[in-house]
Amino acid sequence: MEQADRFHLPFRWKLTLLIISVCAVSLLAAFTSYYVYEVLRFQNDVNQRLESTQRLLREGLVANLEADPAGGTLALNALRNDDTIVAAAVYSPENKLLAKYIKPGSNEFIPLPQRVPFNLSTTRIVTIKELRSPDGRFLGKFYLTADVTKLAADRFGDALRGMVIIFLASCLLAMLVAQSLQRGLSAPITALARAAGRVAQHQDYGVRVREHGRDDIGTLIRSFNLMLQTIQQRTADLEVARKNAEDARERLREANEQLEQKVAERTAELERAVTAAKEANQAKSSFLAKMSHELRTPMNAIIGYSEMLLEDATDAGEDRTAEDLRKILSAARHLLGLINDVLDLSKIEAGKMQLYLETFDLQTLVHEVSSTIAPLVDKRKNQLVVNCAPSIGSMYGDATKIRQTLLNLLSNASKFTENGRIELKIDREIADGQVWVIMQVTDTGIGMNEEQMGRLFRAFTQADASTASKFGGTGLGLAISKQFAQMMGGDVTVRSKPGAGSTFTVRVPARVKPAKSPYTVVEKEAAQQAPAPKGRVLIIDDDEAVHAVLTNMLTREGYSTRDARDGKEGLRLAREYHPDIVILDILMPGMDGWTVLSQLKAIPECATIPIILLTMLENKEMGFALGAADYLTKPIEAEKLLPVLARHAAPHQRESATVLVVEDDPPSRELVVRMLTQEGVAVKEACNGKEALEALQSGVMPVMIILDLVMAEMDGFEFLRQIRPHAEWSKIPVVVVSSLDLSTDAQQTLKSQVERIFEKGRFAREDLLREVRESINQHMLNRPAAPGAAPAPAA
Amino acid sequence: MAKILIVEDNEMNRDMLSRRLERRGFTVAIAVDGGEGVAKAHSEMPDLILMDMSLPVIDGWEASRQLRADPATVAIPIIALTAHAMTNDRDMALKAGCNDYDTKPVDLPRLLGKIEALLPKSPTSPPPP
Repeated sequence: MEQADRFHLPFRWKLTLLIISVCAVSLLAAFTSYYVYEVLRFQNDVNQRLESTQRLLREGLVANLEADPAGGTLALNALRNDDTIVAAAVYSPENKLLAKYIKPGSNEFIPLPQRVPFNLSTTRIVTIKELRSPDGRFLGKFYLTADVTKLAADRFGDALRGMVIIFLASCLLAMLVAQSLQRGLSAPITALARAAGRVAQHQDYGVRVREHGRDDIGTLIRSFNLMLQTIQQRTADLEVARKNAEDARERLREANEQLEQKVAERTAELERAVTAAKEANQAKSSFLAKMSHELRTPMNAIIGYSEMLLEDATDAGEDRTAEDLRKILSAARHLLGLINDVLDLSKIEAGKMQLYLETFDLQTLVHEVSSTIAPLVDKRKNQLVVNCAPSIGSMYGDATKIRQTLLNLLSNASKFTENGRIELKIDREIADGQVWVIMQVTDTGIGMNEEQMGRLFRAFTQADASTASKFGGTGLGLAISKQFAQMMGGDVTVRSKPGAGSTFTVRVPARVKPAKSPYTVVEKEAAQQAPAPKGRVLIIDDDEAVHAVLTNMLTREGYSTRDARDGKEGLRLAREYHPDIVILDILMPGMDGWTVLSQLKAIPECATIPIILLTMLENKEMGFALGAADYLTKPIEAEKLLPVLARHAAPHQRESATVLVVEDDPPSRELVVRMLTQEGVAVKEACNGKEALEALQSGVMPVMIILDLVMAEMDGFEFLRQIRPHAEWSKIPVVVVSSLDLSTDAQQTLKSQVERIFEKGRFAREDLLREVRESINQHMLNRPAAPGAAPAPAA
Repeated sequence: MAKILIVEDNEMNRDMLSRRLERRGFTVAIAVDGGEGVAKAHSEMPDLILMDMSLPVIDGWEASRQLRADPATVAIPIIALTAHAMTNDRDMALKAGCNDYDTKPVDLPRLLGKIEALLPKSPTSPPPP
């Protein structure tokens, strides 16, 4: 601490102290040596003086003693003149005191010669010398004591005083010197320290320390000043740079503001332009739509009258006229096609194209499309291959637009392919958490290059201007198809190489979501709510993927489904939709499955609905305790879920759904009956038309009749004739299953009364079941919609 | 012989359709707007009505509804004809009480099939084998 404190002293004080200390130390050294020297010299002087005094006395004494050995007359009184001699004595050789002198006023005594004390002090000098005659005779002894205390005191007292005075004077001098020195030495350092302090405290880089000499401090100060100058320069530069940056920023901000303003102006302009363009486009579209409509009416007349004339000409055998009329008809139909396409496009552009969503069977659609397109495919000797699994099931979308799209693609494929193969392939896939229906039309035709493909889907452009004239078509079909697919949340894509054919892929969600489409959507609530043959299932789960998988699985199996994404929606739909079964997840955000389950059980009209828990959770006891009908754990397994669903699907719904099977061949009948029973459909059997009639008369009111044609007693034709006049019976859908090779006329006759004709042994089980399901479906629609109340069959 | 009432405002379409149907042995009655259509349905009691939807006075949908609401005409089958080839036209027609639906320009064989299907006993259908 002391050390540190000392360092806190200002530099000039330190310097002063240093100088004084150095001064004091050297003075002390000088004084000490001087003193030692003085002491030695003083003793030497004293001794010499004493020696000379003694010698003088001894000579006198020797003379005296030679004369009188008793020496009583020895005069020692002369010693009185010497102030320093305090005692003296003369002894005879026999040590007899002969004479003595004692300084008056002193308390000296004369010792015996043999007891003379040893000289120990510097201020008291004691000597004892023998007195001998010049011939060497021993005459006696001479004792002398001198006291130089006073002398020494006089002498050293002065010296000490002088030294103190000199010391003090020297210190004073040193201080003065230090003071004057510091002006040259410490002052610059102090100034430097002050300047540094100012710089540190006030960031004042303008301070300069006065320069001072060429020594180290001078260098230090110069360096310091230089450093300050550099810093000042840098700071100034920095300030300039900062100012520049600020200016730049300011300018930038202004520029931005201007830009923003400009952008806003331009955007507004653009918006106005877009609005104007949109309005113009809409006006154009609605004009086109109106014009197309106006065009169709005369087209109607042209086609109609041409057809009439063609019929006349054909009847009259006027072949050339008939040929010309055919050309007119063909041209008129082409023109009508163009008008229809323009109408479609303008509707899409005007935002007036609507989606009509319904659940429809994909295989039925594919059959329709392929039979429609067949003549066109045959025209260029192409082969049509349809690849569609019977289990493809149904989808929920706009059937008309999908049909039109497929017809478009197939008709294109037919136009650009000769002696080739055209394949229509329908498949399902699960991607992005939902089920997609993939429809592919692949041909082995002329194909396209990249550039042609790029133009393909744009309206009013075709792969080549010449193709239009060569192959016909408006070039609008693909643009329309793509728009249709996009309206449904899907797309149409193409893959092709020149000379290597083309593949067009239509991809639409198996369940088109109305919310995703910006277009007006007309949902067919009736179709959606129509009871499926197997039952209506409400799926309550927060996982989109579960909905996708279950909807896919269940619609394929003939259930209709409704989706609820949370418990609240589930409860609402359970009330509105009256499902036959509820599939319920437990772990859901918000209201969990347990709550939904107990609330459902508390709603009177829902309490009887079987609830199947389908969850990751393992807690069967809890589930059954709360009233669940069954408990399944995820992952979803069709083999487990489907039997459980079949068991719980409301059996009363199918009790009334009886199918009458009229067949005389027992194995064939057995086959159909087993198939239907497996499906959960009640069956009434009849061996021929007569038995069937009797069954109907007895009050059986089947939802459908599966009829063989060739039977004993009463055949199928007769049976149909019999039931036709009957108001109720004539409405029952009839499906013919027969081995009879029917003539076209017979088929035509049957068509009016029969839903479908299956050739025995050649029909797919699924197809027949679908017919049955549809009939049951229709039956359910027509019955009074009292939930849970089974309609009584007509007695 | 089945009698068909054609309700159609366009003269050419009316003329064409009536002549083509007559050639096939039908008796044809004509109405030029919805109001006349309803009146003719009562006075002529046709076996079937071909109803255009865009009609003056009252349109085809309204005419169909009126016919369905009247016990005298409730049983007469109605086929709606419209130039709008949209599904909702069919739905609207069926909702209005029509039994079937076809688009214009008329595809005669198709229309005949629908007519025959709706007539209790088709005059042109060949006898069953």
